[in-house]
Amino acid sequence: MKTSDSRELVKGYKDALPVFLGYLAVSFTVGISARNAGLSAFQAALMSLLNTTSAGQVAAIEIIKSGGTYLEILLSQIAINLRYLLMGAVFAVRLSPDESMGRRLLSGFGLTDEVFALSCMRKPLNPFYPFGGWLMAAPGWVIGTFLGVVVNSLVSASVTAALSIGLYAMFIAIIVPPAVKELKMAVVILASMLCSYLMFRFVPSVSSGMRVVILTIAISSIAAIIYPV
Amino acid sequence: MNVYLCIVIMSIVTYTIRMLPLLVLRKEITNRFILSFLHYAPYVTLAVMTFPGILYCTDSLATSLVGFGCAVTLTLLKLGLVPTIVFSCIAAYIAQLVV
Repeated sequence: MKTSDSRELVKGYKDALPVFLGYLAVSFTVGISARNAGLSAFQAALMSLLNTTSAGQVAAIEIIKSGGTYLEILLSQIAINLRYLLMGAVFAVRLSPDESMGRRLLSGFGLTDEVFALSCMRKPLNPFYPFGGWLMAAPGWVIGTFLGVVVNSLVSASVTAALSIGLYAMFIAIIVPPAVKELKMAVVILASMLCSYLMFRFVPSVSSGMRVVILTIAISSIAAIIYPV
Repeated sequence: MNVYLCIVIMSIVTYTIRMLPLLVLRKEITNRFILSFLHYAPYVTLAVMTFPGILYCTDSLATSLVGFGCAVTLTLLKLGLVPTIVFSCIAAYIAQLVV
């Protein structure tokens, strides 16, 4: 491990502190739904540790609760988590082509929506940055899930709601600066929000995970044709 | 339905999706369309995840709008990532008590 690696690891770890706090709050609600589906605290925490994906876990918990099939679990995870494929492609081009396979895969742990968002600010990307972010964020996700199952109302609903807005505030803090700097990016970002709203409003049958996939492919393709870099 | 088997299936699918592009896309990409696509993709993804999701993450639309407005304003004022997040949470919390 080079010095630049340990520096990026620590940077990623520190930068993800707000993600840790946001995850505590959001995964608390995942824990509550896990308990309602009859999962033990250990099972729920294990699911969080091995997946770290909110929408995917909520979908799986619903399927378990309704007594669905393993095939449904499989398909739901593909559909909801397909966005990580696109995020992984972004990581792949931002990593140096010289990086070894092990180091490339290390960055894959950072493919959660929030750690990915933080990593977008790093160009070029050192694989230890997203990994450091995951090391900070994952315990928040696991602990929050565990507490959601065992504690009835440790955190009042208003605190949970206020903290969950923090994760969105983080997304905004990441997408607004490039929009201010580059008019083309501002157009792309505003168009994305508008299309996302229209799809949410008029095609509600599309899940939020699929909405991300469909719109990312469509809008990024159009942007790449109109505004090539 | 065995919960542990469910967790294992989920984990295999999720991590396969996460690792696949890192395994496949190893050579330097020079295609201008793909590079442009991947230049915009992260911001499109984050924008789609942010909106309209942010409007519905608290119990009231008004509270969410306060948090949303606060986050945009503080980012424009270049306050930095962590203060922006912290103050947006506090603003949303206070708004919740008032509304």
